[in-house]
Amino acid sequence: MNSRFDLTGNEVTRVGKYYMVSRIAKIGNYGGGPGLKFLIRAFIVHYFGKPLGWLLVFFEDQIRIGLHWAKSIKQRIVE
Amino acid sequence: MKVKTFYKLNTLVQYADKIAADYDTISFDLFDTLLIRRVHFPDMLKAPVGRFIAAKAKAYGLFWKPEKVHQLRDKIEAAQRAKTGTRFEDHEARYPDFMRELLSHIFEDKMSDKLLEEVTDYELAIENAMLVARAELVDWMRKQHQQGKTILVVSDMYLPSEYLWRLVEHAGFADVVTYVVSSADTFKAKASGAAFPMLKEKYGLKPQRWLHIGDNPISDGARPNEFGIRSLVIKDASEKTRKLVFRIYYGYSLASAFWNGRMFQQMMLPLENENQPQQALYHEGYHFFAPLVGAYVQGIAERTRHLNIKKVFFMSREGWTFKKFWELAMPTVFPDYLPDIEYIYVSRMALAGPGCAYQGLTQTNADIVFLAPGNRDFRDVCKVFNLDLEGLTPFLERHELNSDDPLSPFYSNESIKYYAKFIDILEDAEFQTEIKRQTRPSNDALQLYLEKIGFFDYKDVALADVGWMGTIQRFLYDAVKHREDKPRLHGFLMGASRGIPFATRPDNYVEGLIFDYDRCDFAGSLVMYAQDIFEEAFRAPHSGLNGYQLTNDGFELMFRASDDETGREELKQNEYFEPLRRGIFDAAPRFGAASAVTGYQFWRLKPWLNYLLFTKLAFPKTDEITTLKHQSHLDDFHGKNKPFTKAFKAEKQLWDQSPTALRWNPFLRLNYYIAHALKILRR
Repeated sequence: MNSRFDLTGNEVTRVGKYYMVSRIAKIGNYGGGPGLKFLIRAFIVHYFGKPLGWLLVFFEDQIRIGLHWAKSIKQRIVE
Repeated sequence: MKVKTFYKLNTLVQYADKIAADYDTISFDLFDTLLIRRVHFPDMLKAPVGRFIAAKAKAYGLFWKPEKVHQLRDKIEAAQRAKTGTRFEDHEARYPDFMRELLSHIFEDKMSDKLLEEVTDYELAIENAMLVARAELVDWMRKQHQQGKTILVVSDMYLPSEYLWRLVEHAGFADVVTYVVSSADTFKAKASGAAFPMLKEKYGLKPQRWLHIGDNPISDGARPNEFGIRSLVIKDASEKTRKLVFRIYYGYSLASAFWNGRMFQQMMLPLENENQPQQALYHEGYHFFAPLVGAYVQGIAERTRHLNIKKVFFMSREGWTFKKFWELAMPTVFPDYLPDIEYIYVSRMALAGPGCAYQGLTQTNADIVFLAPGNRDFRDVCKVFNLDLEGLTPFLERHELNSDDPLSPFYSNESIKYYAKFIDILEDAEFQTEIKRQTRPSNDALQLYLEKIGFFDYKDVALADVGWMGTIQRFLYDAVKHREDKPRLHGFLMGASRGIPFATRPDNYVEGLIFDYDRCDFAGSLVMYAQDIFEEAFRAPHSGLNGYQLTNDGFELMFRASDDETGREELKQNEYFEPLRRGIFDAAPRFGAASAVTGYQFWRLKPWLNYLLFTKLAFPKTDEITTLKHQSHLDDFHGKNKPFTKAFKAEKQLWDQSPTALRWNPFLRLNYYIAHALKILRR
């Protein structure tokens, strides 16, 4: 595991390269391929995950409260 | 005193070290503090236990879906928590109690203490496989123990302390822990704070000399603090990120088949002390070869269970790696039943001769010799089938063929003329009688060997080999097919290229699991880019087998000498690939654990394996090729002659290209990929 919590020697960027080639020659059972949206998210989480993780931990309580509020507001709107 | 929160483990350890002198008791939370899980959600570990119970029930003729078992477990556990809540402040549950109730419900009168013990053992084995000790914190804990401090491990958990001890022992720090305490023992938990006075009372601890470390701001922060215990809380941002990454992949795996294998590999990743700087070959072993080998051996396990095959023979020499991987991984994946396994000493060279003892030398078998471009003439036929040329010379003379006349089309445009004479010889009954006479002793020795390893004790046996044409199995079948007690041979190859069509029969067939030419699996066919690499990576660290020989007291296995130049080269190559094999075997138990937890069958991993073949074999980095490219590939079967006619054009493969071409030609890989695609589609 490398410092980005990725597979050493087979990082997410490599999946990106596969995605590009698969646009040209798309043959074989690859389970539908990675999908651009998933690929971008995976890239973000590997490359910007650390500050994200830090923010999530540091503002854990605020986020929890925020999510709780959002949920109750949504529920009120639905009702 | 205010609860102090840390966002990095090393800062917590530094701070704790600074204040440690003021305390003579240090208690730790267990989960997410001393131990971390490979998965983001602990309940994921209940699924394999559900499958285990369902399999056990099936053995008793009781049909329970694993999901149903899981649901019932949750229901019983929740009911027990509610019941405990009426008597205690904490709504705790106790594993042996709710698991006994669950098993009694499922197995009714067949429920026994042994069954409960088996289920518990499996649950703990899965927990152990998924838990990793936090190295830095454990080292610091060890240091505190050496200074004579009382070390407590306190957990709010449904597993009683006797089971937690087993987790602590497996994690490797049981020697420094004085007491392990679980809320399941007394139903007094840290969450309500009731655990701390109880511990004070039971072990005579002084709150003012007591430091508690954990990850929960309430249970491990506020509650001990209220009781006068100094508490430090770790909210590890790095650990949060790791779990976030896993969570993302887990979400993907639910939505897209491609990501199943990626999530699987994320679960297999080495953590904490397991994650040490390693050589490039180790990473290739861990991240590329191990998933392929794991999926392959799991595929064999699934097929043998389905076909009710009771014995698997892993054929030398690649089978050595497969067998070892199986032993490290498969018992976790299939705890209820697995076939017996054994390593069998075979090789094409050793079996080619014995295969002729009853049927003689067939044209198809002889043709296999000339598939290898290094084999030229009748002398090579004698070499491969271990025949005495002198004894066969009269037959050559009878049909006007010299032993050095080229029979392979790679050596002369006139080879067809000589080959026709060779066919005449094969049709000569006396020639065949001589062949049978010459090869009979080696066949007799082979029979003795096979009897010794119990080959004929089973109706069906599976044979596992890396590939590619199933020649070993073909020769083995030829050698034993005259026997009434011969088993049915189910061959499972990693890749089946089928260069020569396999004579498939109900009692003898081969099937490629990662790639089978008969299944039109283009992505899997990429395994053919670098077959030698697989053979070398998986090769056993012993010499190849040359044959079987009768002795006065039975038989003897004749191994190739390892002290000649080629033998020494092979030894050097084996040493070079040692880190790669270490990577494969280090990954094996984690593959088993990941497979058990996800419940993935072979086919679920296949898209990701195909991607691995694509990225590592068809679009490798130059450095990967230079690292993995074989230094010496020994194969006596292939012969040493050099083809010189235009009939043989040695196609330069991608993996044979120079580093310069690989580095600077931007379309090289794409060209090869498209050429390979066209070749496969045309075939």
